[in-house]
Amino acid sequence: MLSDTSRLSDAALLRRVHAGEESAFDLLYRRHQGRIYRYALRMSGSPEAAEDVVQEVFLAVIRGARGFDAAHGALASYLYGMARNLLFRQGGAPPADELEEGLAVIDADPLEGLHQAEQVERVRQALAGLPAHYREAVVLCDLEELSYAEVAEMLGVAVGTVRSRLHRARALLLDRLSGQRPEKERCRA
Amino acid sequence: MSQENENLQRALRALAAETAAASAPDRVQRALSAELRARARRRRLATWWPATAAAALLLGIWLGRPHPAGPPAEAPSVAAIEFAPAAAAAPAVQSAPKARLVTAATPANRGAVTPWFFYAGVPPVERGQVVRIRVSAATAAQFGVYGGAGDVPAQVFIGDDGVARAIRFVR
Repeated sequence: MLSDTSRLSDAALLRRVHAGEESAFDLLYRRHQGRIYRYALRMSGSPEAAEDVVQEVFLAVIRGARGFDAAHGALASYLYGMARNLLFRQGGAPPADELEEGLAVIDADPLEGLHQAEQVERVRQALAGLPAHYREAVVLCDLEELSYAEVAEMLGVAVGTVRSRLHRARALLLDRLSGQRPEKERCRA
Repeated sequence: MSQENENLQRALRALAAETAAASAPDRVQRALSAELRARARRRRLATWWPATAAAALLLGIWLGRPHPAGPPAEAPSVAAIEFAPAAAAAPAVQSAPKARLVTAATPANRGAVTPWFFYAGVPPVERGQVVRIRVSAATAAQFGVYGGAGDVPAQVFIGDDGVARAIRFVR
Protein backbone atom coordinates (compact mmCIF):
# COMPACT_ATOMS: atom_id res chain seq x y z
CA MET A 1 0.00 0.00 0.00
CA LEU A 2 2.87 2.30 0.86
CA SER A 3 4.45 1.74 -2.55
CA ASP A 4 1.13 2.63 -4.21
CA THR A 5 0.83 5.78 -2.18
CA SER A 6 4.46 6.73 -2.66
CA ARG A 7 3.90 7.07 -6.39
CA LEU A 8 1.11 9.59 -5.90
CA SER A 9 1.63 13.22 -6.80
CA ASP A 10 1.68 15.87 -4.12
CA ALA A 11 -1.75 17.09 -5.19
CA ALA A 12 -3.22 13.59 -4.91
CA LEU A 13 -1.63 13.12 -1.50
CA LEU A 14 -2.98 16.46 -0.40
CA ARG A 15 -6.51 15.38 -1.31
CA ARG A 16 -6.06 12.24 0.78
CA VAL A 17 -4.73 14.28 3.67
CA HIS A 18 -7.85 16.42 3.54
CA ALA A 19 -9.90 13.23 3.72
CA GLY A 20 -8.03 12.42 6.94
CA GLU A 21 -5.70 9.71 5.61
CA GLU A 22 -2.74 9.60 7.96
CA SER A 23 -0.44 7.54 5.73
CA ALA A 24 -0.80 10.16 2.99
CA PHE A 25 0.13 12.87 5.45
CA ASP A 26 3.17 10.91 6.65
CA LEU A 27 4.39 10.58 3.10
CA LEU A 28 3.79 14.22 2.25
CA TYR A 29 5.55 15.25 5.45
CA ARG A 30 8.55 13.04 4.74
CA ARG A 31 8.77 14.41 1.22
CA HIS A 32 8.90 18.04 2.21
CA GLN A 33 9.70 18.61 5.86
CA GLY A 34 13.48 18.33 5.47
CA ARG A 35 13.69 21.07 2.88
CA ILE A 36 11.35 23.36 4.78
CA TYR A 37 13.22 22.76 8.03
CA ARG A 38 16.63 23.40 6.47
CA TYR A 39 15.39 26.50 4.69
CA ALA A 40 13.98 27.89 7.93
CA LEU A 41 17.10 26.87 9.86
CA ARG A 42 19.44 28.50 7.38
CA MET A 43 17.34 31.62 7.17
CA SER A 44 16.81 32.05 10.90
CA GLY A 45 19.87 30.31 12.33
CA SER A 46 17.61 28.93 15.06
CA PRO A 47 16.55 25.26 15.33
CA GLU A 48 13.61 26.27 17.52
CA ALA A 49 12.35 28.80 14.98
CA ALA A 50 12.80 26.23 12.20
CA GLU A 51 10.80 23.66 14.18
CA ASP A 52 8.00 26.18 14.70
CA VAL A 53 7.94 27.00 11.01
CA VAL A 54 7.70 23.32 10.02
CA GLN A 55 4.88 22.81 12.49
CA GLU A 56 2.95 25.86 11.26
CA VAL A 57 3.43 25.01 7.60
CA PHE A 58 2.17 21.45 7.97
CA LEU A 59 -0.65 22.50 10.25
CA ALA A 60 -1.80 24.72 7.41
CA VAL A 61 -1.60 21.68 5.12
CA ILE A 62 -3.78 19.69 7.53
CA ARG A 63 -6.23 22.57 7.73
CA GLY A 64 -6.73 22.58 3.99
CA ALA A 65 -3.71 24.31 2.39
CA ARG A 66 -5.93 27.26 1.54
CA GLY A 67 -4.73 29.07 -1.54
CA PHE A 68 -2.86 26.13 -3.04
CA ASP A 69 -3.74 25.36 -6.63
CA ALA A 70 -1.82 22.54 -8.28
CA ALA A 71 -2.52 24.13 -11.67
CA HIS A 72 -0.59 27.24 -10.67
CA GLY A 73 2.52 25.78 -9.09
CA ALA A 74 4.18 22.98 -7.21
CA LEU A 75 3.31 22.18 -3.63
CA ALA A 76 6.97 22.62 -2.70
CA SER A 77 6.84 26.25 -3.84
CA TYR A 78 3.65 26.77 -1.88
CA LEU A 79 5.23 25.31 1.26
CA TYR A 80 8.39 27.39 0.84
CA GLY A 81 6.23 30.46 0.36
CA MET A 82 4.36 29.76 3.57
CA ALA A 83 7.61 29.16 5.46
CA ARG A 84 8.98 32.39 4.04
CA ASN A 85 5.96 34.38 5.19
CA LEU A 86 6.22 32.88 8.64
CA LEU A 87 9.91 33.69 8.85
CA PHE A 88 9.37 37.27 7.72
CA ARG A 89 6.52 37.61 10.18
CA GLN A 90 8.78 36.37 12.96
CA GLY A 91 11.74 38.52 12.00
CA GLY A 92 9.89 41.42 10.41
CA ALA A 93 9.71 42.04 6.69
CA PRO A 94 12.90 43.51 5.31
CA PRO A 95 12.57 47.17 4.43
CA ALA A 96 13.01 47.98 0.77
CA ASP A 97 16.07 50.18 1.30
CA GLU A 98 18.00 47.17 2.56
CA LEU A 99 18.17 46.05 -1.02
CA GLU A 100 20.17 49.11 -1.95
CA GLU A 101 23.08 48.49 0.35
CA GLY A 102 26.35 49.78 -1.05
CA LEU A 103 29.36 47.57 -1.64
CA ALA A 104 32.97 48.23 -0.88
CA VAL A 105 35.65 47.25 -3.33
CA ILE A 106 37.30 44.03 -2.17
CA ASP A 107 40.93 43.81 -3.00
CA ALA A 108 41.82 40.60 -1.21
CA ASP A 109 40.20 37.21 -0.59
CA PRO A 110 38.71 37.41 2.90
CA LEU A 111 38.69 33.62 3.28
CA GLU A 112 42.21 32.94 2.12
CA GLY A 113 44.50 31.30 4.65
CA LEU A 114 41.65 30.22 6.95
CA HIS A 115 40.87 26.63 7.82
CA GLN A 116 37.63 25.29 6.38
CA ALA A 117 35.91 25.26 9.78
CA GLU A 118 36.82 28.90 10.26
CA GLN A 119 35.68 29.74 6.75
CA VAL A 120 32.35 28.06 7.32
CA GLU A 121 31.82 29.80 10.63
CA ARG A 122 32.65 33.19 9.15
CA VAL A 123 30.38 32.60 6.19
CA ARG A 124 27.60 31.53 8.53
CA GLN A 125 27.95 34.74 10.52
CA ALA A 126 28.17 36.91 7.44
CA LEU A 127 25.12 35.18 5.95
CA ALA A 128 23.11 35.76 9.12
CA GLY A 129 23.91 39.46 8.84
CA LEU A 130 22.75 39.84 5.24
CA PRO A 131 19.45 41.57 4.48
CA ALA A 132 16.72 38.96 4.24
CA HIS A 133 16.22 39.17 0.46
CA TYR A 134 19.88 38.54 -0.20
CA ARG A 135 20.21 35.89 2.49
CA GLU A 136 17.24 34.15 0.91
CA ALA A 137 18.88 34.14 -2.52
CA VAL A 138 22.02 32.52 -1.11
CA VAL A 139 20.09 30.02 0.99
CA LEU A 140 17.83 28.93 -1.85
CA CYS A 141 20.34 28.94 -4.71
CA ASP A 142 23.64 28.06 -3.04
CA LEU A 143 22.58 26.04 0.00
CA GLU A 144 19.29 24.48 -1.09
CA GLU A 145 20.58 24.21 -4.66
CA LEU A 146 17.24 25.12 -6.20
CA SER A 147 17.25 26.28 -9.81
CA TYR A 148 16.84 29.97 -10.63
CA ALA A 149 13.45 29.15 -12.13
CA GLU A 150 12.28 27.39 -8.96
CA VAL A 151 13.43 30.26 -6.79
CA ALA A 152 11.83 32.80 -9.12
CA GLU A 153 8.51 30.94 -8.94
CA MET A 154 8.70 30.70 -5.19
CA LEU A 155 9.56 34.36 -4.67
CA GLY A 156 7.24 35.59 -7.37
CA VAL A 157 9.99 37.46 -9.20
CA ALA A 158 11.68 37.18 -12.58
CA VAL A 159 14.58 34.79 -13.09
CA GLY A 160 16.79 37.77 -13.85
CA THR A 161 15.94 39.27 -10.48
CA VAL A 162 17.01 36.06 -8.75
CA ARG A 163 20.31 36.13 -10.65
CA SER A 164 21.02 39.75 -9.79
CA ARG A 165 20.06 39.26 -6.13
CA LEU A 166 22.34 36.26 -5.87
CA HIS A 167 25.19 38.11 -7.52
CA ARG A 168 24.76 41.04 -5.19
CA ALA A 169 24.33 38.75 -2.19
CA ARG A 170 27.65 37.01 -2.90
CA ALA A 171 29.37 40.34 -3.30
CA LEU A 172 27.85 41.52 -0.02
CA LEU A 173 29.01 38.32 1.65
CA LEU A 174 32.56 38.87 0.49
CA ASP A 175 32.32 42.46 1.62
CA ARG A 176 31.18 41.47 5.07
CA LEU A 177 33.70 38.68 5.33
CA SER A 178 36.43 41.09 4.50
CA GLY A 179 35.07 43.42 7.19
CA GLN A 180 35.19 40.58 9.72
CA ARG A 181 38.90 40.01 9.34
CA PRO A 182 41.29 42.09 11.41
CA GLU A 183 43.20 44.73 9.46
CA LYS A 184 46.51 42.93 10.00
CA GLU A 185 45.19 39.68 8.55
CA ARG A 186 43.69 41.43 5.54
CA CYS A 187 46.98 43.15 4.80
CA ARG A 188 48.80 39.85 5.02
CA ALA A 189 46.40 38.34 2.53
CA MET B 1 35.74 32.69 -11.31
CA SER B 2 38.02 34.71 -9.06
CA GLN B 3 39.87 33.12 -6.19
CA GLU B 4 37.73 34.82 -3.51
CA ASN B 5 34.53 33.65 -5.21
CA GLU B 6 35.86 30.12 -5.41
CA ASN B 7 36.69 30.17 -1.72
CA LEU B 8 33.28 31.58 -0.94
CA GLN B 9 31.59 28.87 -2.99
CA ARG B 10 33.62 26.22 -1.24
CA ALA B 11 32.70 27.62 2.16
CA LEU B 12 29.02 27.79 1.16
CA ARG B 13 29.11 24.17 0.00
CA ALA B 14 30.68 23.16 3.30
CA LEU B 15 28.01 25.13 5.15
CA ALA B 16 25.29 23.42 3.12
CA ALA B 17 26.81 20.01 3.81
CA GLU B 18 26.84 20.74 7.53
CA THR B 19 23.06 21.04 7.62
CA ALA B 20 22.23 18.80 4.69
CA ALA B 21 20.81 16.08 6.90
CA ALA B 22 19.04 18.40 9.33
CA SER B 23 15.37 17.73 9.79
CA ALA B 24 12.62 18.56 12.22
CA PRO B 25 12.51 16.46 15.40
CA ASP B 26 10.17 13.47 15.43
CA ARG B 27 7.94 15.14 18.00
CA VAL B 28 6.80 17.61 15.33
CA GLN B 29 5.47 14.81 13.15
CA ARG B 30 3.86 13.11 16.12
CA ALA B 31 2.07 16.31 17.11
CA LEU B 32 0.92 16.91 13.54
CA SER B 33 -0.33 13.35 13.13
CA ALA B 34 -2.25 13.68 16.39
CA GLU B 35 -3.84 16.88 15.09
CA LEU B 36 -4.78 15.14 11.84
CA ARG B 37 -6.43 12.30 13.76
CA ALA B 38 -8.28 14.74 16.00
CA ARG B 39 -9.58 16.64 12.99
CA ALA B 40 -10.72 13.41 11.32
CA ARG B 41 -12.50 12.45 14.54
CA ARG B 42 -14.20 15.84 14.77
CA ARG B 43 -15.29 15.60 11.14
CA ARG B 44 -16.77 12.13 11.66
CA LEU B 45 -18.53 13.38 14.74
CA ALA B 46 -19.90 16.39 12.88
CA THR B 47 -21.33 14.02 10.29
CA TRP B 48 -22.91 11.55 12.63
CA TRP B 49 -23.86 13.39 15.76
CA PRO B 50 -27.08 14.95 14.43
CA ALA B 51 -28.32 11.53 13.34
CA THR B 52 -27.19 9.94 16.58
CA ALA B 53 -28.71 12.71 18.62
CA ALA B 54 -31.95 12.40 16.71
CA ALA B 55 -32.04 8.66 17.26
CA ALA B 56 -31.38 9.14 20.96
CA LEU B 57 -34.11 11.75 21.12
CA LEU B 58 -36.61 9.52 19.39
CA LEU B 59 -35.78 6.68 21.72
CA GLY B 60 -35.97 8.94 24.75
CA ILE B 61 -39.29 10.39 23.71
CA TRP B 62 -40.70 7.02 22.87
CA LEU B 63 -39.60 5.48 26.16
CA GLY B 64 -40.98 8.46 28.05
CA ARG B 65 -44.35 8.52 26.37
CA PRO B 66 -47.29 7.50 28.52
CA HIS B 67 -48.58 4.22 27.21
CA PRO B 68 -52.34 3.95 26.84
CA ALA B 69 -52.45 0.84 28.96
CA GLY B 70 -50.00 2.14 31.53
CA PRO B 71 -50.77 3.60 34.94
CA PRO B 72 -52.47 6.98 34.45
CA ALA B 73 -51.08 8.42 37.68
CA GLU B 74 -47.58 8.84 36.29
CA ALA B 75 -46.88 12.19 34.71
CA PRO B 76 -45.67 11.90 31.15
CA SER B 77 -42.12 13.00 30.65
CA VAL B 78 -42.82 14.21 27.17
CA ALA B 79 -44.90 17.17 26.20
CA ALA B 80 -45.83 18.31 22.77
CA ILE B 81 -45.44 22.05 22.39
CA GLU B 82 -46.52 24.28 19.61
CA PHE B 83 -44.10 26.99 18.60
CA ALA B 84 -45.63 30.19 17.39
CA PRO B 85 -43.70 30.45 14.07
CA ALA B 86 -42.45 27.49 12.12
CA ALA B 87 -38.78 28.44 11.95
CA ALA B 88 -37.49 25.40 10.17
CA ALA B 89 -34.66 27.13 8.39
CA ALA B 90 -33.47 29.17 11.33
CA PRO B 91 -29.85 28.17 11.94
CA ALA B 92 -29.90 28.97 15.61
CA VAL B 93 -32.57 29.28 18.24
CA GLN B 94 -31.76 32.11 20.62
CA SER B 95 -34.01 30.97 23.40
CA ALA B 96 -37.03 28.85 23.87
CA PRO B 97 -39.88 30.69 22.18
CA LYS B 98 -43.12 31.37 23.90
CA ALA B 99 -44.99 28.16 23.71
CA ARG B 100 -48.19 26.79 24.96
CA LEU B 101 -48.51 23.33 26.25
CA VAL B 102 -50.83 20.96 24.57
CA THR B 103 -51.29 17.33 25.32
CA ALA B 104 -49.29 14.74 23.50
CA ALA B 105 -52.45 13.25 22.19
CA THR B 106 -53.56 16.41 20.45
CA PRO B 107 -53.86 15.84 16.71
CA ALA B 108 -51.08 17.82 15.09
CA ASN B 109 -52.48 18.36 11.70
CA ARG B 110 -53.15 22.06 11.61
CA GLY B 111 -50.11 23.20 9.63
CA ALA B 112 -47.12 22.04 7.68
CA VAL B 113 -45.40 20.72 10.77
CA THR B 114 -46.49 18.88 13.87
CA PRO B 115 -46.06 20.41 17.28
CA TRP B 116 -42.67 19.95 18.91
CA PHE B 117 -42.31 16.84 21.01
CA PHE B 118 -39.97 17.81 23.81
CA TYR B 119 -37.91 15.32 25.71
CA ALA B 120 -38.41 16.38 29.29
CA GLY B 121 -35.54 14.39 30.77
CA VAL B 122 -32.79 16.91 30.05
CA PRO B 123 -32.02 20.35 31.46
CA PRO B 124 -33.15 23.36 29.43
CA VAL B 125 -30.76 25.24 27.17
CA GLU B 126 -30.67 28.80 25.94
CA ARG B 127 -29.34 28.17 22.46
CA GLY B 128 -29.32 25.41 19.92
CA GLN B 129 -29.83 24.44 16.33
CA VAL B 130 -32.59 22.94 14.25
CA VAL B 131 -31.35 20.03 12.17
CA ARG B 132 -33.33 18.41 9.37
CA ILE B 133 -33.44 14.64 9.32
CA ARG B 134 -35.63 11.87 7.93
CA VAL B 135 -37.15 9.17 10.10
CA SER B 136 -38.83 5.97 9.11
CA ALA B 137 -42.58 5.92 8.64
CA ALA B 138 -42.87 3.37 11.44
CA THR B 139 -41.10 5.67 13.89
CA ALA B 140 -43.19 8.65 12.82
CA ALA B 141 -46.35 6.59 13.24
CA GLN B 142 -45.46 6.08 16.88
CA PHE B 143 -45.90 9.81 17.27
CA GLY B 144 -49.20 9.77 15.49
CA VAL B 145 -47.75 10.97 12.20
CA TYR B 146 -48.76 8.88 9.21
CA GLY B 147 -47.05 9.97 6.02
CA GLY B 148 -47.26 6.91 3.84
CA ALA B 149 -44.68 4.23 3.25
CA GLY B 150 -41.54 6.39 2.79
CA ASP B 151 -39.42 8.27 5.27
CA VAL B 152 -40.91 11.26 6.99
CA PRO B 153 -39.01 14.54 7.08
CA ALA B 154 -38.50 15.85 10.57
CA GLN B 155 -36.66 18.58 12.41
CA VAL B 156 -34.68 18.03 15.57
CA PHE B 157 -33.83 20.77 18.00
CA ILE B 158 -30.34 20.16 19.39
CA GLY B 159 -29.05 22.25 22.24
CA ASP B 160 -25.58 23.80 22.22
CA ASP B 161 -24.48 21.02 24.56
CA GLY B 162 -25.08 18.56 21.72
CA VAL B 163 -28.11 16.94 23.33
CA ALA B 164 -31.26 16.64 21.25
CA ARG B 165 -34.24 18.17 22.99
CA ALA B 166 -37.21 18.08 20.67
CA ILE B 167 -38.51 16.79 17.38
CA ARG B 168 -41.30 17.69 15.05
CA PHE B 169 -42.43 16.16 11.82
CA VAL B 170 -42.99 17.86 8.51
CA ARG B 171 -46.16 16.81 6.83
